[in-house]
Amino acid sequence: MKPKPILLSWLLLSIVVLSGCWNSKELSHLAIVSAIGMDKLPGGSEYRISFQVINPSEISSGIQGGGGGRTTAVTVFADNGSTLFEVIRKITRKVPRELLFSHVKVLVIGEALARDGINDLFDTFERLHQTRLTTKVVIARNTSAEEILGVITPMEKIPADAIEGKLEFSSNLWSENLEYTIDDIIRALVSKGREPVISGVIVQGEIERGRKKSNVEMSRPDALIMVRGLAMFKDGKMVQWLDGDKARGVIKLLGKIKSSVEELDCGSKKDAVTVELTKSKTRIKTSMHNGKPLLEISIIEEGGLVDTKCALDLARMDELAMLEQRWSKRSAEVVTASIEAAQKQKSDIFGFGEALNRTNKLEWKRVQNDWNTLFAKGEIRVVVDSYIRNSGMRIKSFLQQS
Amino acid sequence: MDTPKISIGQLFALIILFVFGTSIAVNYGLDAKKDAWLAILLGTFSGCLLFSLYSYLYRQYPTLTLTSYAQRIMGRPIGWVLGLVLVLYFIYDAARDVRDAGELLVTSVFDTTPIFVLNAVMLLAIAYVLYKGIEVLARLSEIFIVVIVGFGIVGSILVFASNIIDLNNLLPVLEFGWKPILTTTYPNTFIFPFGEMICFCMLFPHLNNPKLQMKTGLIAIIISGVVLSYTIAIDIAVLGADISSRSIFALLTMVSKVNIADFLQRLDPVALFTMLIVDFFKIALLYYAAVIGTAELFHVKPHRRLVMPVGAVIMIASMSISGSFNEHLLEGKLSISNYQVLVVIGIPLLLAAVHLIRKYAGKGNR
Amino acid sequence: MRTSTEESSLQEELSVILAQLQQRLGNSPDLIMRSIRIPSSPTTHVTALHIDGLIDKQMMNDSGLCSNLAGSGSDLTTHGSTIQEGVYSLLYNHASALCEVSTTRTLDGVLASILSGDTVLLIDGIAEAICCGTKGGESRGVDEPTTQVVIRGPKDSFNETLATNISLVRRRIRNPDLWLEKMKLGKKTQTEVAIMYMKNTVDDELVQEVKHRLQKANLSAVLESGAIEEMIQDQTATFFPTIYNSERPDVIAANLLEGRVAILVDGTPFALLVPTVFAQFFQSPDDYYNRFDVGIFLRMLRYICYLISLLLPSVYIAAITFHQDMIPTTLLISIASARDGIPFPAFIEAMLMELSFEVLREAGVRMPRAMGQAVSIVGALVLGQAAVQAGIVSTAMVIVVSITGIASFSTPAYNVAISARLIRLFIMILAATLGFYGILLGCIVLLAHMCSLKSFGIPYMAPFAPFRLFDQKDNILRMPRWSFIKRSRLIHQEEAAESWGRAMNASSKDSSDSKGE
Repeated sequence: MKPKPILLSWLLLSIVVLSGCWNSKELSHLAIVSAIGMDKLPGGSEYRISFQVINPSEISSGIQGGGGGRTTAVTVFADNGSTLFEVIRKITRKVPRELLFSHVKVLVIGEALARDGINDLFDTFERLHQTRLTTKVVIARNTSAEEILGVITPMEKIPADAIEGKLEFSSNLWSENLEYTIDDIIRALVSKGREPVISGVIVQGEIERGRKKSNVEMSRPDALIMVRGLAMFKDGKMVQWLDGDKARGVIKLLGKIKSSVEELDCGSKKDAVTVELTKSKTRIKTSMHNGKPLLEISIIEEGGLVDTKCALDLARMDELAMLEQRWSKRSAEVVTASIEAAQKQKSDIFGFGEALNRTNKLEWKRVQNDWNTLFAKGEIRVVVDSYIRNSGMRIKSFLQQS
Repeated sequence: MDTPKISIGQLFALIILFVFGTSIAVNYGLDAKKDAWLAILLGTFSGCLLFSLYSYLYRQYPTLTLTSYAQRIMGRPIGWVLGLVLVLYFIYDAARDVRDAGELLVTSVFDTTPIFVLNAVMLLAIAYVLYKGIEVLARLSEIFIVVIVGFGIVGSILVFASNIIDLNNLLPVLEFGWKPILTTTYPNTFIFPFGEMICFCMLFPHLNNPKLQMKTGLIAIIISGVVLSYTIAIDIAVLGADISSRSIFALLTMVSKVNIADFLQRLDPVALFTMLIVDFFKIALLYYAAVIGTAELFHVKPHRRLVMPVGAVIMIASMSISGSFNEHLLEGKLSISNYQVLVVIGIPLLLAAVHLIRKYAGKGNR
Repeated sequence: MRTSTEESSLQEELSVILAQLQQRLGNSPDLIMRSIRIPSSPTTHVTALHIDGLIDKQMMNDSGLCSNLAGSGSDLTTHGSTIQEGVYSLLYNHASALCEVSTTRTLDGVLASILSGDTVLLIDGIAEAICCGTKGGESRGVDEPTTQVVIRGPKDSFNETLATNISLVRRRIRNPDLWLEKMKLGKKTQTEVAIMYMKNTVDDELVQEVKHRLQKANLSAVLESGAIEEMIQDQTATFFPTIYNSERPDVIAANLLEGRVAILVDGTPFALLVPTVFAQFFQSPDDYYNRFDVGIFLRMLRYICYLISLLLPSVYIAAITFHQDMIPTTLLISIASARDGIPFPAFIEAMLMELSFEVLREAGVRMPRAMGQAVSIVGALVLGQAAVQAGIVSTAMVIVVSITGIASFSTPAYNVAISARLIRLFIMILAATLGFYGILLGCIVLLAHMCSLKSFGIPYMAPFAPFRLFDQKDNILRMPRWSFIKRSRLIHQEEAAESWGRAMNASSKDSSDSKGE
């Protein structure tokens, strides 16, 4: 009885050792992919898929002495194929290492492909264990995804990080776009009561020059990636770009707004008062009345005054109240405009359908199949409560004194 | 020979780990979509009733295991056959869980490693523990319950802190009424972890404090049921009912969404560890029940001589049980509703009924 | 050659005895024989025998036997019937006033006495020898402990003399309950071994078991307590020490108060303590001398360090070869760039580094102290730097191995730290073949193994497993002292209430129900 446990442990050990290391992958044989781009090849059903691969020694040069400075921080490899997985394998003819997908930050979809429909794209992302649902998705506006991936960016060495950073800070501070990840989009695609919206990116400047390292060697780069606009989808197909206030209205309705800038009129002066929105809460409620949906939106928003170009006496409560009213009115207009734009496309990007399901699931079951047409007919009722909580470090503007 | 003793605390830890085994990993109860958490609570409640039945039988024969008192109640031949069925069930169930663990590893990390190796290593580790005796397994459970609770608390904090929970995903409650919940609960969430607890009937004779057996068991079941329900609810709240129900290992997918300050992210290994640890204990308990049962049916002493042979059978069964993971999952559902019900509810009910009849008939005769 | 006849009683003739003794000792020059002349009976030959260096010369000379005897000139026959007997009783009385005295009637008894440092008085014509306890001679003074250093706390430590060691413990526990038993172990060395325990606190069965195991231990030589440890431990096939050793009298005293048994061995400063649980190896006396919050923090730190020293290289290997997805991107990129151009796979690289680190460490210990510094400078700085610059190992690996090495020094007990070094290599193999899965299974098997260990009937992993809530106050945590007052639940004795609680108190409960293994 005594030697048996030892025997057993040896058996254990030998099996393990003899079994080898199937899944073991040395880092020096891996190529870390930071972004994936998907485009549609004109005519035919094939995709052109591009991978932005990191050159590690270029990123953290100086550790080992050698290495740095020889190449760009990333290299873009692209190939054609009818599925993502096919290209992943096919690309090995061009890449000397095995691709590692667990660090993909951004998935860029070409506008042409987006207009053609994105329903078929995400299955592989869900199935493979390396790819992550938290990958952020953007649409390459007016250009192809491959071009976007190829632009060398200043400040962030990895362009995917640059896109991610721009997305994050602009949606936190400016709020005309959204950080939507793959699973957010899948949920919207699956749901009958909601359609997805995806942020857009464009290249500002000369794309050709953006590919060279010299692009970051000047103080004003030739090409810059910029986040711009929201793509509105219907049935998995992109239908329209929303920009400016319309985009902000969508974000507000989705309740994703964190902080933003609002401009209000001051008497006759247009956009003379600037308010920093610091907090916003949106509630939407849908109900059916005579076969027509009633879309009720209530928004509570708070902010502080940061800029005036006119003589406002903020010590007077009525001035402040008027300003708040003007803000509420403006917000209501913005939101209504956004909904109307969506209604025009019969695309419920706000999830009014889901809201109906939450409050009245029996009614929802009846209407869910032609919800989009019903939504287009929906009556909008917006209630906005705005509060200006402070006015920065001053009360009166110096303009008032003179 | 002294029998090894299991304390009440150890029983508590073992039950919790056992209930979590596999069920916390897979998309458990998600046939009921958004209301999966309700289905689990209902299953927990039914599980308590079933556990009371097992406890009743145990209190009638506090020194015997299930396979022994089956023979005592039903007489030698029938009881022996019932015992054999139970042992086969334990082996089958253990093999299923081994396969689950192996498939979890293959789909999540080890895609090019033969599942045979992954299963074999797991079973060898369990065999080692069983070799050391049930006491060692019980003590191990005390250590790992702390680990699991720690993972649970840390994981929950991280999930809440990374602001990915959207409670709207859980609404509306009862979207499709009670029907899908009931069909999911009976038999799925009912049998799946709670019916399998029949293997504890092979363990009860080792308890050092039989009086607290029932109370401890029920508390452990309720706690684990509530935690399970909570876990699945979080899965749904984060991923939505659709993605959760389509993913094979919902917890893993959910945890991969955690991201705090771009540093605390990619916590999948934590989820993977949790699943593997709880699975380890579930397999170990079923495996142990199979070993003890076989030893009693065939009068083998000491029972540890059977650890390796039974392990080999479980190993082979786990490999040959189905051709693909999809088949494995489907088979699981079918076998639960068709056969497992008979074993885990039918046999104990039959035993209890015959026992009662004998008791009163015996009184009448006297 | 020993024969049965020689073992028999002493001859009466002094010269014969002396000849026999000299023959048995091979005419050893360090056997000192002094003839004592009794003034009142000049014809009676008395010889004092001792071994040079083993006795307390002060005792011998100043208050000494020889000189003072001269003055006693009373009538010898009043003490006995013959003159010789008179001399004998005179000497006996006189000696017993000076030191502890025993008598022996065999040649072997005489030999044993003089070899253990007694002075033996032989009187011509009397077949009985008087053994005067004059043990002494050169021994190291009571120094500061070298292996278990504390910042605050007593600075004395055991030395190689059993009597000193016992007195150091006695001085700390002035209590009649502190019982002491002595026995001689080692067929050839006849080493004195003392068992100490608190009579009313200790479990009697435990004392019996210790004595039984010590007697059963069939040793020919006991030069260090390690030999005894190996013979009386519960299980040999394990990496873990199941018996605690300490050179600190305060540690021994504290553990005695908790109900443990201490085994002190002559000739070594390291005393053994049984039973031992795993948690004990992470407790430093410092914990109790500092504030409790500091104690808790330091103790947790030690556990974490132990985990690091056990697992860090394995986790690193597993992470970079199997689970690249769990490393944050930035970190992965820097590791990747550091590993670019390294000719070895990560596992081989780690093994190389670990082994060279072990070599450095061993060399550092064995080197003459003056050179140790040079070795560590050459090894750590020059070699490490050169290896990194030559691209043989990556910087990340150097960091990992160094942290592991430093962490392993923070375990207070050397013998547990060294076990971690061995286990680490096994877990590294598992990590290289099966990634985190291998590490997890390795840890489970390791823990199962630890759970199956016992030390004198006490589960090694108590009070973790079996879990005892009451003993958690002094396990990973070190709760404030007032919280120990209620701790007498398991021991039942008042004395234990204020003692430093440790896991041990489970003893009385467990030893009974855990013998089934």
